[in-house]
Amino acid sequence: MENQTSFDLSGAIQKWRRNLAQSVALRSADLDELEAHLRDAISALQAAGLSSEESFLIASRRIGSRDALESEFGKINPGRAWLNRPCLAGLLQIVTPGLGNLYTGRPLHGLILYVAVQGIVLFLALALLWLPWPVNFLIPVAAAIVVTVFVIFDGVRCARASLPDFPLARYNRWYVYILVVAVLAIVVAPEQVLVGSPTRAYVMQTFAADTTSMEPTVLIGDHVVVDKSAYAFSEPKRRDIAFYRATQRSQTISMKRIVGMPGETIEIRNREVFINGKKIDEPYVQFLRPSTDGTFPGVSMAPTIIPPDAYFLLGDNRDNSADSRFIGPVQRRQFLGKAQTIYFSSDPETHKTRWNRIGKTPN
Amino acid sequence: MHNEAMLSRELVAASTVPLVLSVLTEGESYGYELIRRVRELSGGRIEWTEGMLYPVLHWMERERMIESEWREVAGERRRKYYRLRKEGRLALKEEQQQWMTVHGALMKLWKTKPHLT
Repeated sequence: MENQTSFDLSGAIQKWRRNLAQSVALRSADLDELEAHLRDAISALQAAGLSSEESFLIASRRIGSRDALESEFGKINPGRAWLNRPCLAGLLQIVTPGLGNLYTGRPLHGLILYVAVQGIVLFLALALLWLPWPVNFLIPVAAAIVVTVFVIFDGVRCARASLPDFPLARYNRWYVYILVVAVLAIVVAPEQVLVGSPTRAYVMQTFAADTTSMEPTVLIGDHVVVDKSAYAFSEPKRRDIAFYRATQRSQTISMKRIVGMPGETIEIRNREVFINGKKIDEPYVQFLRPSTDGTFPGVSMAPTIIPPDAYFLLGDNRDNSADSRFIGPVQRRQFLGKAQTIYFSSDPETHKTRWNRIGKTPN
Repeated sequence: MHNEAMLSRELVAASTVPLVLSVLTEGESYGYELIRRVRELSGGRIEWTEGMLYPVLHWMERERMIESEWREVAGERRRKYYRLRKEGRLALKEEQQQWMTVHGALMKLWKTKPHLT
């Protein structure tokens, strides 16, 4: 029936659709629906005896002009639909990669993206820990920028692809997103409440030094990369600068140098440290007070046996350090990791970047 | 176009949502079929600019009155079917009350003062 005249009906419908497609307010799902309508209307008119050309003209006129459709569809999809939803998807991607995909109804896509990003982050962290300066810094920074841009773009693209229909799935609820973030935080690490990254929990994290207790090795304003995998695969060593929690569950994290090992007897006689009765050499240490001040706390300490599985830690800035002399030995399980590299440093007073410190390994 | 027998633009706009909801109580349907049914019920006096129905349907969907699904019934073309939701039934109940209020008031006036016409 459709071929009863020389009129090219399917060509006309395609042309009609292409014309409508030029409007930003009309997305492809709208065009599909309007086209189905047009074809239904044409079929009905043809069945009533009209030629395919007449049927097409009448049916397309009844649907309305492009301008009329654009204005009506535009009212239903104001900025909210084709601006804010992609924006929101992009923002959710920043909170946790994949969350924006979940929001746009692509949970599996989101899960894959999350796993992929965490894999890349892990890889970059290992690069940061193992490659020499400054390659170890430049590659991860460049890659992090690329990955971030890609993740945001991916969220926005998913949101755009599902517009303007944007059917909300059953899980499109605000509390679902909170739940996802919370579950990730718990699975990954309790202290990473917002951005749960397994790498951050188990491989590498950064801290800014906020006390002088490790001067002159680590200054206030030094930002230090901590190798969190260090003590998972090997035992802490003497002279390591270790990060540890004040108590096992504490959020307070300190950084001191390992001086005494498990089972050893440690004694301090007027600033000199003796391990098992033998004086050790401490080239890293700094004293603020005159050596004659023998009454200052911590200048001397009676022989102490370090329990098994515990370590005796001291600050390099020995006269201004709250360390094992005062808080006792630190348990092995309190350790977070080992100081790796100073990746950034700025003077706390002048806020000027201390370029000469960047890239140094504190030891 | 300005046939006296045709419903005014304002009334067409105001009655679209209750009409769609009411037709959907008869079962799920798609845009073209909805328009055909309303034309038939109104004896051709309610004539929608057909393309304009879709933004309204999408808005109603966003307001969760109705839900939609692309489906291909055997032997026919792929169409987007709309179905009433619980919220839509509640909305229809409200619409019914409001239209009946207007209808009832007008009826009383027109019955008591038939000479006005």
